[in-house]
Amino acid sequence: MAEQALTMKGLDHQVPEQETMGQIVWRNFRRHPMGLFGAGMLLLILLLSVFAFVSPYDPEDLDNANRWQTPSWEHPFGTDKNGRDILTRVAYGGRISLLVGVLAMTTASIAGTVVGGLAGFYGGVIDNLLMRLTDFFFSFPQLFVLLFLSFILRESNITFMQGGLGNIILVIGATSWMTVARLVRATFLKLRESEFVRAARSYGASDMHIILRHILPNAIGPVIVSGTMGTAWAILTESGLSFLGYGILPPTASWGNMLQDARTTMGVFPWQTVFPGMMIFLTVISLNYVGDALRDALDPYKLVGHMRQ
Amino acid sequence: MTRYIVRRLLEAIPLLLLVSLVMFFVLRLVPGGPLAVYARGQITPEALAQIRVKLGLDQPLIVQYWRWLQSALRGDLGSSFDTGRPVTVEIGERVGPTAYLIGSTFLVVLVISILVGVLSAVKQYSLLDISTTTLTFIGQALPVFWVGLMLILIFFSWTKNPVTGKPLLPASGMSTVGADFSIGDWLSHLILPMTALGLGWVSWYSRYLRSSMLDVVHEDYIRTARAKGLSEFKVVFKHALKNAAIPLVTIVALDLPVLFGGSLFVEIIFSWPGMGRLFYRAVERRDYPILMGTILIIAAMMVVANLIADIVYAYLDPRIRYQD
Repeated sequence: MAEQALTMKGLDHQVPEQETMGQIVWRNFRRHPMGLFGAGMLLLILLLSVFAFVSPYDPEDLDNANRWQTPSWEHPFGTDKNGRDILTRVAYGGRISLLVGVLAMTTASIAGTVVGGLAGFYGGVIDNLLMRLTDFFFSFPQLFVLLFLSFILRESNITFMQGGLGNIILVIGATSWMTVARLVRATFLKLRESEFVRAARSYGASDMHIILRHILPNAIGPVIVSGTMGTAWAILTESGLSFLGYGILPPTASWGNMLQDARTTMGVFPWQTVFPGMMIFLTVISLNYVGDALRDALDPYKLVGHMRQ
Repeated sequence: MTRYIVRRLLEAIPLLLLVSLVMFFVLRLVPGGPLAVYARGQITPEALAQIRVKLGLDQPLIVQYWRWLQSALRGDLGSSFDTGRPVTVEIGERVGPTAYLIGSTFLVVLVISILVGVLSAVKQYSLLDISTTTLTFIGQALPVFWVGLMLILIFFSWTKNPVTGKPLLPASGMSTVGADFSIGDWLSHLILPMTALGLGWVSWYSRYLRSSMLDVVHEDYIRTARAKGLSEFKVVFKHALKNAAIPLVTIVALDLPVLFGGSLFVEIIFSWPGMGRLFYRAVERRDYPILMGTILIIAAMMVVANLIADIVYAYLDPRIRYQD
C-alpha cells in the first residue's frame, strides 16, 4: 500500500522485492510434509531407474542356473523363473513406467487442451458435439476401451517403439483426456467475455493469439495438478494393461508384466509378486501426494495474494 | 417423471447406434477380420471363400452392418466364434455373477464408508479422522490386481484353517465346484474378490462423505433439529447424512465405469465367471461377436445406471425437478 500511494503521488519509489512465481509456488509447496515426502520418493525412484545400468546383471539375459533365488546380498529382491535379478528388472521397469506415465499424460493433456479449448472458445455446435464426445468417453469403462484399442492395434500388427511402448502411450492418451478437456473448457467459458480478452479483440488480435497468449495461461495451474494425478493414473493403467498381456511385451521389463509373469508361480515363489507391486504403489502414492500439495500451491487466490503482499 | 425417463431412454438410442457402427467398422477393417479365426486352422482357400459368402462378408460393409442391425434389433447378436453358442446366451449367463460381485461390493463399501465418514466428521481431528485421510491416499494408490494377488498370497497360500488344514479362504470361483449350495460357501468365496475390488472405494468414499458431512453440520436445519430435542443419532444419521449423501450419488454414477474396470481384473484373478472375464477371453481368442456384444451391453448398462442416479438424486433432493 505504501508503495502504491507513493506512485500515485508521482514520487520516486522503490520497486518492492518481487518473488518470482516459482518461489511463491515452492514456498507454498514446502508447507506440505506429504508433498515433500512424495517428491523425495519420486526422486529416489527416478534415480533408481536412471542408474539401472549400474547393476552387474542384465535385465533380459536368461540365467537358468540361478532361478528362483530368495533375496540375498547378491540379489536383494531375489531372481525370477529365468534367473534374472528382480531388482535390476524393477529398475529397468521403472524407466518404462515413468516414461509411459509422463508421455501418456502429456498426450492426454495436449488432446484435452485442444478439445476443451475449441469447445470453450467457439461454443455453440462445436461445444455441444465435443462435450457429448467427452461425456461418452467419461461414461464408458476405460479399461474395456483400452483393451479393445490395444487388441485392434495388435491385430493390425502395429507396434510403435520397443515392446509396444508407443502403442500404450497412444491408447492411454486417447482415453484419458476428458478431465483436462473439462478444466480447459471451464476456463475458456469463464474468460471468453472478460475485459482483457475484449481489449485484445479490440486491437485486432487473432483468435490464435487470444487463445494462446491470453486465455490458456490461466488454465495452466489446474492442468498441472490434473497432469500430476494423470501421470499416476497412467502408470496404474499401464501396469494393469501389461498385467493383462496387452501393454509392454516381454522380455522388456515393466512392473505390470513382471506381475503377470509372477502370477502362475506366486504360491511357491512370492518375491516377484511383492516388489514390482510395491513400486507401483509407492510411485502412484507419491505422485498423488505431490499433486495434492501442488493443488494448494498453485491455487490462483494464494498466488495473487502473495504477489500483492 | 415417466416422460422424463422415456425421453432419456430415447436419447440413448443414437448413442448406442453410433457405438455399434464404430465397433462394426473398426472390427471389419482389421486385417483378416472375422475370417482370421477360421484361417488359423487347416483350410483350403475355396472353403474359406465359401465361408465368406455364407457369412455375407462379400457384401459391402454398409449392407453387412444393416443386416447385423436388423438381427440385433430382433435380439440376435450372432454366435460366439469360440463356443458356437448365441452371444445373448453367453452374455446372459455372465451378467448375474458380475452384478452379484459389483452389487454386493458396492453395498458393503457404502455401509463401511458411511460409518467411517460420519464418525470421522463427527469426531474431527480424532485418531480415526487422521488415519482415514492417510488411508484414502493408500487406497487410491493400490492397484486392484496387485491387491488381489497379495490377498491370494496371504489368505490362500500362507494362512491355513487351523481345523481342516485347508487354505483359510477360497481364491477362485463363486462357490465350491460340485458342492451343494450353502450361504457360508458363497460368502467365503466372495470375501477376497470383494476386498480387492472394494478397498480403494472405501477409502475414497469415506473421505468424500467426511467432507460433505462437515459442510452440512453447520447448516441451519441441523441446528433446528437439535433445538427440537432430537437425539444426536437421529440428527446425524437422518438429517445430516441424507443431505450429505446427495453429492455422493453423482460421484457414484460417475465411478461406476471405473468399478466395472476393476471388476475385470478381479474376475480374471479370482476366476469369477463374469462379463469382464468373458470380454477378456473374447479379446484373447478374437471372438468378434462376443466383443461387440459385451461392449454394447455395457454401454446400455451405463445409460441405465446414469438414469437411475439422476432419479435417486431427484428423490433425495426435492428441489430438483426434471422437465418432461
